[in-house]
Amino acid sequence: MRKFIHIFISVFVLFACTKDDDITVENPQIPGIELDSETAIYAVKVGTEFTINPTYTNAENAIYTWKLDGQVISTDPSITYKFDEINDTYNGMDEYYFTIQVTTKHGSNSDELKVEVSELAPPVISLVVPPTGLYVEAGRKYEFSPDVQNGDEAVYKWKLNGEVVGNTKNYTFLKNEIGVYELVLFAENQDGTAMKNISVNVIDKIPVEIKFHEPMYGLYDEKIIKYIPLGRTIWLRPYIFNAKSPSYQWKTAEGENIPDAINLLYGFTPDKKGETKLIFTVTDFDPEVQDNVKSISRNITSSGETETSIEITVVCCDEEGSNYRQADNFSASGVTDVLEFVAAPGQFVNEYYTASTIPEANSYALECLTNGTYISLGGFGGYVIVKMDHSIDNIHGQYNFSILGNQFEGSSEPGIVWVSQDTNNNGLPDDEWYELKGSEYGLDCTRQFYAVTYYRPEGTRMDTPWVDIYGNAGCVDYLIEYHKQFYYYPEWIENNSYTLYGPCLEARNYLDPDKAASAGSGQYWINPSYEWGYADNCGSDRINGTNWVGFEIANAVNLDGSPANLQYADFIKVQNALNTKSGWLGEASTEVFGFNDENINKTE
Amino acid sequence: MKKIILAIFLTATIGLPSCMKYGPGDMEDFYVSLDPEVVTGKGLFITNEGNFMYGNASLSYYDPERKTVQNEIFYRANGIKLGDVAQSMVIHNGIGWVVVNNSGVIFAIDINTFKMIGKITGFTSPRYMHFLSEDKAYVTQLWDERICVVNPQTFEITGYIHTEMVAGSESTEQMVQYGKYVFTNCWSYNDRILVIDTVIDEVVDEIKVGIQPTSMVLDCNNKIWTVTDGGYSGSPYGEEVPSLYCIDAETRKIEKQFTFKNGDFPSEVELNGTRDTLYFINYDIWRLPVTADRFPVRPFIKYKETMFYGLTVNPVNSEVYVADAIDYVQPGVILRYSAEGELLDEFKVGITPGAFCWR
Repeated sequence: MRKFIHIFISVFVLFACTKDDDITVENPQIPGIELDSETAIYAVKVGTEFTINPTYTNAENAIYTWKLDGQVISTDPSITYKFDEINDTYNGMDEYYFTIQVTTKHGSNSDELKVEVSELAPPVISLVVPPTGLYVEAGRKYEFSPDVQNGDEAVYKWKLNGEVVGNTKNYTFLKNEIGVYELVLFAENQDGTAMKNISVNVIDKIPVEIKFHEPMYGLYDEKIIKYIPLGRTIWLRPYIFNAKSPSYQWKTAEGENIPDAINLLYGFTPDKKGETKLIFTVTDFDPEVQDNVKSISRNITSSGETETSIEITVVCCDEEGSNYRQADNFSASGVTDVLEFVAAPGQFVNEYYTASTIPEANSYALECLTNGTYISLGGFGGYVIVKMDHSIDNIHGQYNFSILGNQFEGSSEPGIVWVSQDTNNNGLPDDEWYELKGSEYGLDCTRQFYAVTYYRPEGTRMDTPWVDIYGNAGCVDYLIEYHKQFYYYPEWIENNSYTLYGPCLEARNYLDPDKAASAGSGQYWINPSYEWGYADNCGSDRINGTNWVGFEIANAVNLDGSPANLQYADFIKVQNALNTKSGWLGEASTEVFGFNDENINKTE
Repeated sequence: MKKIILAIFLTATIGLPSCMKYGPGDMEDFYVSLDPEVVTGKGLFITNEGNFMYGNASLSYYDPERKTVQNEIFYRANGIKLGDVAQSMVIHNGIGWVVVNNSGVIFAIDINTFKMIGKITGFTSPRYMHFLSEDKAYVTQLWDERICVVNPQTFEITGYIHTEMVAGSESTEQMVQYGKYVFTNCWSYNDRILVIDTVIDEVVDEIKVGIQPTSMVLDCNNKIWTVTDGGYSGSPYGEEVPSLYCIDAETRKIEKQFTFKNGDFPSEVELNGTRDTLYFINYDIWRLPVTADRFPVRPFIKYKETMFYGLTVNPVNSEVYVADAIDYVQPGVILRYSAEGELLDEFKVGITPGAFCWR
């Protein structure tokens, strides 16, 4: 019996111990999840499969639930998935949130992760070529240094007339023989390939180009026509490109030299109404012309001189005042029309608005001015031309009109102001423009006859390159943190490059470390003001401390600097006069919010 | 200050006021019927920095229950302008202390009437105020290696704590207290947190972190959280990726470091009322429990592509308030969100709202 009881007790104890193990020895814990990305963010390419493979602990006999935006998509421990398209084409990236939940009998645990789906990122080659073609001189070395987006891991190949001549990103071109060469750059990375074709014209000399500052965009594509009222002098001042050692001569339509007219600037005073044609000739001498192209035969040699001419038509119209529009009690003090909005590339261009043609851009600009919101003119040279329903009188001794900006001390982005009269009475601002001189006018540091050519970037979200009349190159920075529109190059400019002309003030922006410390900012840029005479400038001519800057038509000057003595103005143009940028603030870009005729409505 | 322009659907207040009065001006009477000694989360002061050197700082007051805001309350109650760059405000025993950085003054106001009770002057560039007792407080400064010791009862500076920082990097900023020690972050061309013994009023230790720790809080587990901005390109002090640090206040050791990405610009660490949830700005508004080992993948409040400049959390109901400076030119906007991140209200305040103070 005792033995039997012993056995019974043992069995009982054994059973009791087993039951205790089930409760306390196992020490149940909820499952653990460790993702195979330490940030829980996965960057994947559209159209490409990806796998997320977490590590689990305490997950025996677990149930796995994967959810995408709340919907169950898998019950496996790992997940393989693919996104076939990008929905957010503006930013070029979609974000998706997955959750993984692991459940066992001891509990449940979950984690959230993010999948960033981006476009494939093949190389994008940007190599700026002048719109008129690439012309290089025989016997000279030219370094081709393209900008390649997504090019860090790319493989490169250069071909010249079909033969491989290079396998690095940059290439040095040198040919002694005149002709046209086909140069091709290939770039390839894991996401695709890109190709850039360039026709290289090798010539003995790059031709001189003569251009005139167009009153309106594209106006002088065919003929140069200048309008002047009877009794005035028209000042003609062309821009010369690619000249080495030029001399100038103004001529009559018959080709006869006009005496003493040998400067770039020429004043012509018609003595009666009607058309007069003039010819402007640039004779350029290049002392570095190669011997092999200087001597064509023992009897024929090149002098090293080239001659380029351009014809200008001057139309003398009715006297000033013939098309004057008197203001009356019903005249509006603000603008009634935007005749042209041609922005330079800039961080605010194309942002929050769509304009695919110049008329659409003009409509957008008029809407802004009517609503009192801003127009950004973009970088150097960008401009807007407006008119009112009456001529603005030149009343001496007072501001005749004012322009509203958003300047404040330490943040000035001056715009030079021009006025014009509708001399030819066609309602268009295709007449002569007269600069309203400001405090910087005539200073040595002011580049009076400056020009910048902008080039459309090859791909989205890239810097916009430019070259100025002196051959300096730069770019309008793409500020991806702040302004994410695809291009800063105006969408309504059809050509892939365009040139803006105008005076350029000396850039005086600088970094202020003391203000950076005080403001808690890493970089504190100062865009200082200029004394007076510019829109969007914190100068002494702000009316009653407001941001309305006053302008006097009496300050209008001819191209030679002499007073224009205009009786009134029909059109006003504001043009960005700075070609500079301030670090993370980006390019200096003039903003305009409104115009006011101070003669009929004084700013308080 | 970046001249960022809003989208055309926002109406900007263009230009300066047509008439800048510095004082004296007409006075108004205010009265807020709340117990000044108790923090109820039913009243919120907003300090608006204004534009540096413009003297257009201001103070606003928001009533969350009525959803009403009063702006320029200091000027309206006292007839004089607040001054240049209102940096911060703290309430102690029913008195509000408004630190006006570039005016070198701290105003004491009645938080029910907004009337000035007194002021402390003589600072170089005061930033934040921390109370140790009824008659002792610390005031941190910029461009001055000294932390001021003040007597709020007598409105006087009674002494200084010398930090011996190198010229050009003198900056002490926010303060948290653990036991008898006050910790303060040094953010301008600097990379450390100083430890001050409040009994002897001396710096006794320092904790090295990343470049430019800009804000700091102490959580419910006595961990100090600070975020760095990483400096900037070309800075003589260097540049690095920003980080968020979690430091044990007792051991003064860094226990966690969360590293951001290039281009990130984190700022304004804040805690909820129970101090177990951390918030900060990094374009978006982010939120994570103080026990987290990893950043969340999803922001709490999405970035509006303007300028999130300040942040606070209602200590009672965890509603989140975000200060949007927009473009540093026009009046700023405060966005009020529920504890779950739903927009409840938004209202205009002064230029560049930067800091908050709950009552």
